[in-house]
Amino acid sequence: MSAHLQLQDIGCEKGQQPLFSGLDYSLAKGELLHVAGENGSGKTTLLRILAGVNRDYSGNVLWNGENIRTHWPVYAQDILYIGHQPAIKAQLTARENLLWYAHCVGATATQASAALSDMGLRNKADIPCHQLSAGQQRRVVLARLIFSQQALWILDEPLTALDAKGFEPILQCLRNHLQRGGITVMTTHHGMEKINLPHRQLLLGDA
Amino acid sequence: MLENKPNVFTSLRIWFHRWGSPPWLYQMSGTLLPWLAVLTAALILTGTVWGLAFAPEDARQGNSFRIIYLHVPVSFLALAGYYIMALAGCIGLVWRMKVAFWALRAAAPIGAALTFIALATGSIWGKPTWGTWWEWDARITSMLILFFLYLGVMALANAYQNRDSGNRAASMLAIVGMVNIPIIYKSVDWWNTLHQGASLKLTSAPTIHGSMLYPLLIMIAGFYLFYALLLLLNLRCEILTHERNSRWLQDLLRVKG
Amino acid sequence: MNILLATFHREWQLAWRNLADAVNPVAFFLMVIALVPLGTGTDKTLLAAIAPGILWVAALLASLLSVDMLFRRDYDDSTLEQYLLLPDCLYGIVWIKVLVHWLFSGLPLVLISPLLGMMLSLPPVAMPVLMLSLALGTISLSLIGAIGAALTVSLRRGGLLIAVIVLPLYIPVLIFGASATAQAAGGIFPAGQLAILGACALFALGLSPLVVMAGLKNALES
Repeated sequence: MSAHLQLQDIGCEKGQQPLFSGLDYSLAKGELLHVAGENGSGKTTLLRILAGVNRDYSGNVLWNGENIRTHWPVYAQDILYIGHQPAIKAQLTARENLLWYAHCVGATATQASAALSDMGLRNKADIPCHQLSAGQQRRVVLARLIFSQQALWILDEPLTALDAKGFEPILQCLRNHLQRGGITVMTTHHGMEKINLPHRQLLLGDA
Repeated sequence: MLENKPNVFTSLRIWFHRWGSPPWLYQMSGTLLPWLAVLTAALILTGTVWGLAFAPEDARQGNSFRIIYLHVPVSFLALAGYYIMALAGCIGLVWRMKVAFWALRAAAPIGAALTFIALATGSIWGKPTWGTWWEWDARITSMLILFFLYLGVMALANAYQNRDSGNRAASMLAIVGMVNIPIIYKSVDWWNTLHQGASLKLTSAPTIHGSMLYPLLIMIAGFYLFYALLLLLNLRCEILTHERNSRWLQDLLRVKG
Repeated sequence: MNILLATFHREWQLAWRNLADAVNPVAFFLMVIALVPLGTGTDKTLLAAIAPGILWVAALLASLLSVDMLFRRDYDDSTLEQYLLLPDCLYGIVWIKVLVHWLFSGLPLVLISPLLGMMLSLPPVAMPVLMLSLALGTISLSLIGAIGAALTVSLRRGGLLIAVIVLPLYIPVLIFGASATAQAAGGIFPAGQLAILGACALFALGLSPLVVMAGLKNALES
C-alpha cells in the first residue's frame, strides 16, 4: 500500500474571513493524525477539503505526489470518508445500507454481514435504521471500516454516541489499518487518550 | 523552448488574464468610461433626433412606428445581454475567474430591465397597431420568457448565503438557459403560427426604407455602447463591494483623498 | 457496473418505502383537473377544447412539485458526499436517480391521464397520444427539473425558487406535448410533435446529468 499525503499551503475562507491559512503538513504510511481545535476552527472544513468534497480552497493537496484536483478519480478510490452526518438511509435496514457501501468498494455480502456481527448488530441487522438508536446508527456507519481496503481514512467525529462496546472493534480496525500502512486523519472530542495509539496532532485556530 | 517563445497565443493569454485582475479592470474602466459616455450620448442623441424628427412617416402606421427606434435596439440587447451574461458565467466556471462571476451579477439586472423595457415598448406599440395592449405574438411571448429566464438567474444568485456558490449556480443556470433559448424561441415561433397564422406579423426589418433604417442602425450601435457603459458601471460597483478590504483599493482611495 | 446496479436496487427500495411521495403528484394532478370544471362550468365542448392544455399544464406542475425532493434527502443525510466519492459512477448515479424518480412520479401521471382526459371530455382517440406524449414529455421534465433540484438542494427554501428557475425551461415540452394531444383529438396523428418530444428527451438524457453533477458538487461546497 503506497500512501503519502501532503498538504501544501492550504488555506480556506469562510465569507471573506480566513478560516485557516498556510497549512503545511506531511503524513507517511502508518501515521494517524488528530485534527484538533475549538468549535468553528475549521476541523470539518479541513476534512472535507481532504475528502475532495470541498474544492474551494487555496494551496495543494498531494496524494502520492499527485495533486488531488487533477488526479481526483484515482484519489477518490483510495479514500474512505465518513462525515459528520451518518450518511445512512433511515428507511433501509442496517444490512441494506451496508450492502450498498460494500458493493461500492467491491466487498461481498458475506463480508458485510460479518462486519455487522463484529459491530454487535447481528440481531438488529434487518430492522429499519430509523428504529435504531444514535449509537447503533453510528455502528452501522463505522462497520464500513471493517471491510475497507482504502489507504486513507478521513473520519469526522467517528466516536460520537458510541459506547465502549462499539468502540472496541473500531479501535482494533484502526490499529490494523495503520499496521497495514494506511493513513488516518480524524477529529474527535473524546480525547485521543481513549484511542491510545501513537499519533500526531494538528491544532487549528489561534493557538 | 517552444512554449516560452512569445507568439500570438501567449500574448492573447496575457491579455485575457489581465481581464481577471480587479485592479487593472477598475483602472482601465475608469479611464474608458468618460469616452464611452460621450460616444454613447452622441450616438443616441443623433439617432433619436434623426429618427423622431427627420425620418419619414410610415405609410401604414403613421408616426406610431417611431417607437421602433427604442423598441428594436432594446430588444436586440435584451437577448444579446443574456448571451453575454451566460458567456461570463462560462468563463467564470472554466477559468475560475471571479471577475467573470461579478460580470454575470452585473449583467443580470441590466438584461432584465432591458427585457422589461422591450416588453413595455412592444405593448405600447401594440395598442395603436393591433388595438390591444397585449398580443400573444411570438416575439413578445419569447421576450416574456426571456424575462422569466433573467428572473431565475437573479433569484438563484441572490438565494445563496455563500456568494461564491451562488455565482457558480447562477452561471450554470445561465448556461442551461443559453442552450435552451434557441429551442424555446423555435417552439414559441411554431406555437404561434399554429394558433394565429401570420396575419399579425409586423413589417419585417429588411423591407424598411433606407431613410428609416439609418437612424435605427445608429440607435442600435448607440445602445450597444450604452449597454457596455451600464455593464462597466455595475461591474465597478461589484468590484468595490468585493474588494473593499483589499490593499490596492484602499491605497487608491487614499491617493484620491 | 456493479455499483450502478447496487445503486438502482437501493433507489428502488427507497422509492417503495417512500411510496407516499409517489402518491402526492398523482393526487395533485387529479385535484387540479377536478378544479377546472368547477371553475369553468361543465360545458362539454369547452372542456374538450381546453383539455389538452389543462392536462399538460397540470401534469407539468405535478412533475415540478415532486422534483424538489429528488436530491434533498441525500443532501440532508450527506449521502451526496458519498456519491461524489464515486467519480466514475456519478453520471450513472444521477441518471439512475432521475430514472427511478420518473418511474415513481412521472409514470403514474401517464397511467392515470386517460381517466382524467375522460373527465375533461377528451375524445377517446386522443388517449394513446396523450399517454405517449406525457411519457416522453415527463422524462424531459424530470431531467430538466433535476437541474433545478441540484442547483437549489443546499438552500433551505428551495420550493418556490425551483419553480422560478425551471418553469421557463419547461415551455418547449409543454408546447409540443399539448399540441400533440390537441392534434390527436382532431383525428390527425401528430408524428412531428412526438418526434420532437422524443428528441428533447434524448437531448436532456445526455446533457442534463452533466449539469446536475456540476450543481451537486457546487452544493456541497457552500
